Amino acid sequence: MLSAYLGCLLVDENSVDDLFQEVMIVAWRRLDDCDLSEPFGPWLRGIASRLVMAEHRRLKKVPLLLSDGVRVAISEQFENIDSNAGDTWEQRSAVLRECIDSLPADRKKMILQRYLEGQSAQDIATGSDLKIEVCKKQLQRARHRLVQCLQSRGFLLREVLSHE
Amino acid sequence: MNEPIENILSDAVDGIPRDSSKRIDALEPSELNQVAGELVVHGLLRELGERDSNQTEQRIDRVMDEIGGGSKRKRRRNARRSATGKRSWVKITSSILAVAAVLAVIAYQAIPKGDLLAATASIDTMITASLEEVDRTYRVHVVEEFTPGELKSATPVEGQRRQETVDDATLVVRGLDKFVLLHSPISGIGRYSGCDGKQSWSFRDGSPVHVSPDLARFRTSLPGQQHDLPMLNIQEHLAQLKAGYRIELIPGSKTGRNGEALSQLTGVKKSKEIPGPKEIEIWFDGSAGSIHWMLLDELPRGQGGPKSILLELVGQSPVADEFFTFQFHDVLSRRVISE
Repeated sequence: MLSAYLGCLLVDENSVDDLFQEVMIVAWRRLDDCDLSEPFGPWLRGIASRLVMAEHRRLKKVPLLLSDGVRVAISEQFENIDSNAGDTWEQRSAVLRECIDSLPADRKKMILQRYLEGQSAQDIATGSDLKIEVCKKQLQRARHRLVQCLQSRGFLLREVLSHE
Repeated sequence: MNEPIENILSDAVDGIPRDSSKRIDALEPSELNQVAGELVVHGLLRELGERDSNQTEQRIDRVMDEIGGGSKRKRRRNARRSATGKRSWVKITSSILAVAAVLAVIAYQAIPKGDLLAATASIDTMITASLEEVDRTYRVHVVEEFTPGELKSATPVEGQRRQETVDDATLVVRGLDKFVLLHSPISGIGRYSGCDGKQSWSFRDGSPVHVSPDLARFRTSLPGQQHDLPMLNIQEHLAQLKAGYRIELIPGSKTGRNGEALSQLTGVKKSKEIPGPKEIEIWFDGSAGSIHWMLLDELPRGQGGPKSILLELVGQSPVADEFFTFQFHDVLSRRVISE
């Protein structure tokens, strides 16, 4: 799930492996600081969040959306997933796959192209003979429907507690 | 008027760059929910895609094994068996350090790919062990050569001797920069290279001794002149393993010649741009960090040389300090050429 968290923080796909390893190394070195009676995930994501933001700042490309409030809200969503969505990736991804299957056929195809085939929004737009803005909008709506589906199954919180 | 948040969100997750010097107003709670929810879904979908592609690779590998790669696996097994004297492996049920076990459990239970933490730490242990002033003797086995067809596009090094091989060579290493590599004689002609920590040297029977203050000058000892033997520059090779390979650790699953618990570390190269073999398999003493076997599979074809080699630890007896000087091996007091 750490890779998923890095993806949430808009880490470039080419940098995920490097940051993943960096997080692990930092965690390893700071293991003495970790309270092992507490869940391990939030502690690890805290390290990841700091490293990711440092990397964004280094590249002078801090995404507009990644305010402190948004990052806290993302963390709350992950804590909910840790607590309520099964222990293994297989259990968690099963819910996600069911929600993907519930999408209208054209939206499902678009999500599969974007994430399972690794196509860019521009590639999908070109292949589907759509304008890029239309394609982006359809992708965004498909993701929004997935959010609603996952909320209805308790996988995601409907409301996070934190505020800006 | 502010731009709708969904437009900013859409651009961010679908990779459209924006001016990061701009700021957006504080988000309403509903917007914050929306942004966080969709970013989480974006991250989950990305992970789903990554994991699915890995499974696809594994499926392809299995198919490749079935249609031909199976023989490769068999070759590896045979090479390992011959190296161990058909030793039967005993599974280790204990003797893993308690701390390592606790950390491994945490890593396995708490996070996916958590074994990376332990794998990375094990590489650090190996690097530390390699820096010790301990003498280790390795035997080099060529597991597989490139076929003539595979070498068709390769350009042999000018003057490279066709019969030159590193198979059955003996390598003695001590710490960071001392080594001696004794090639098995071919047609009665031996080849020797080494470094005593102050200068490196190389000579063949019947030829002058070449010496150089560049300690790395004679490290490229594999035919083809493009690869170091990994034990000669182990720190760099292991660091590259951490950075450029997908690594996996299987703790304490075999025993060594003297009953040591050996762990297995495997690495698969992340991309073709990274130099070095496609796959690396290391068996090492989990507590001491010493490497007992190292298999380098699918070395770059480049200018020729072996496709796959195995290094086997055959002894850890100390040698005299003079052993690493060329004078120790140059019994005929040949002419010395400084480079």
